[in-house]
Parts: sequence; structure tokens; C-alpha cells
Amino acid sequence: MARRKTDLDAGLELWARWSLPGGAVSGGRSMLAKLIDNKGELFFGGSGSGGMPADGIEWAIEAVVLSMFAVEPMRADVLRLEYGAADYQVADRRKIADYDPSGLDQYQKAHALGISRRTYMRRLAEARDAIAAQLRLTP
Amino acid sequence: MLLIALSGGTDEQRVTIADGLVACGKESLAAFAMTSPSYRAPLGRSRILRAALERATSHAAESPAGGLVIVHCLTEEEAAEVRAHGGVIWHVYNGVSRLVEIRQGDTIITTKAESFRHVLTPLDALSELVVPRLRDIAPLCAAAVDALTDA
Repeated sequence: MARRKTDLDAGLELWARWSLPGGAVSGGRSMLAKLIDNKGELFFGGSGSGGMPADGIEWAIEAVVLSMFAVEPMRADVLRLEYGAADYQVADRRKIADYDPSGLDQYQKAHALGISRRTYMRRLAEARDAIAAQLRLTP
Repeated sequence: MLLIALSGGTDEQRVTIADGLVACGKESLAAFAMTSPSYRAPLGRSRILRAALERATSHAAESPAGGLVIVHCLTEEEAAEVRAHGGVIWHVYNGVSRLVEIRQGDTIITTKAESFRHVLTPLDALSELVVPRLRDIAPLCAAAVDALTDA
């Protein structure tokens, strides 16, 4: 049985979409368009209509990830690679040659970062926990 | 060339672990399974294994396989051969062999889905084995990663 998507999962998915070049966000569109974009889910903490307010969940997660980067860069980078949120910046900064995120699994992403899969999974869990705790999202 | 010998557990567990490693496609592993002679003929087994390992390592450049999983490491003599060729021994948790000693640097693996404490899933164990080699291959990149991690 598939795991139920939590508030944290939904928030991270919105953040990842928002981080894409060009910002594929659902702000400023009809309720139906948002429902289609979010595959039948409405996330009320997210960006509302009429642009991108600074209190959207995407901004909040980005702020947590940026502060996380200042303390524990690997944790933030693992989260970005896992969700594909500005992962090209990570690849550029870490000089990962020929990084192509399509089709990469956690084993390959971990090795691209120079860490083992187990460490990658640990850092990912820490990053998710930190975001859930700071934004009071259901993990 | 990666050499991984599986020790302990049941024949079925070792075959399942080796199948999983080969099927996952990571590091292009192949499997070598010696079902006879039995563990009662340790010298015969180690002689056959030595010949297989020498052939595998000497032809490593021509082989499409990036590593070899020795499915049934049943005796200490076989383990010694694997270690002598630069290989590692993975012991199956909860079914450690009476004949193959656990030495420092050996890995304990589980057939369960998740790693716990010092016990790793085969994929995690493979990753732990490969990462230091990646660092050897690309020391400049490894230094950059360490600098970022320490920053």
C-alpha cells in the first residue's frame, strides 16, 4: 500500500516545483487549475492567487533550507538533490561533472555528493525532521 | 575490481542477497556460486576459488563486470583467498558462520529492508564499500566535498 502523502511531503513538492527554473507555481490561477497542478490536493498554506506572497509554504521551506545550509551544508544539499529543488546549483557548486538528475536514484545521488547511501538517508531524514519541526508540518 | 564474499546465513539467503546485488545493476556486479565440493573440503574449495579469482582479476580490464559476488564463502580458507585478492567479507546477521571468523573491517548485512545500528542492507554495504574507492579515483573532488562539509 502506498504511503499517505503528509503535509510535509506536499509542502516539499510545492517547494521543489517553485524552485524549478521559471517557477512552475500555481499562484494566480483558478481553483480548478491548482487542483489539477497539485494532483487533486489543495494546500492552503501555499501561495495564494495574485502572485507569490512572502508567507507561502515555498518561501518558508526555502528559508529553513538556507539556514540549514549555513549550519550543515550537506543536509541541505541532500534535500535539494532528493527533491530536485535547485539541484543544478548544488551540482554546479560541488562541481559534479555531467550531473543529470533524470533517472538517478538515491544510491547514485549519494555517490554524486561523495557520501554513502546510508549517510544520504540519514541527512535526508534530519533535513525533513528539521523542516517539519520548524514549520510544524505533519511528517 | 570489487570482490565481495558472502558468509553465514542460509544458502537461500546468500543467493537472494547476491541476486539482489546483481539485479540492482550497481557497479555491474556478477556472481560466482560454488555449490560443490562442500565445506568439508576447505582446501579443494579454496583452490577452485583461487583459480576463479585469479582469472577474474587478471582479465578485469576485458570483463564487463565491475565486481564479483562470491555467493558461498563457507570456510576460513575461502575467506583468506578473498582477502588476499583485496576482497571483503560480508557476514549475514543472525546466522554467522561457525567456520568463517568475523575480522575487523568486515561488514554485517541484513536481509531486512532497512539498515539498523551497524547492520547494513546489501545496497548500503555496497555504497559504503564504493565511496572510499570513488575518493581514491577523484581525490580533488573528495577534498572539495570535505572542505564543503567542514565549512
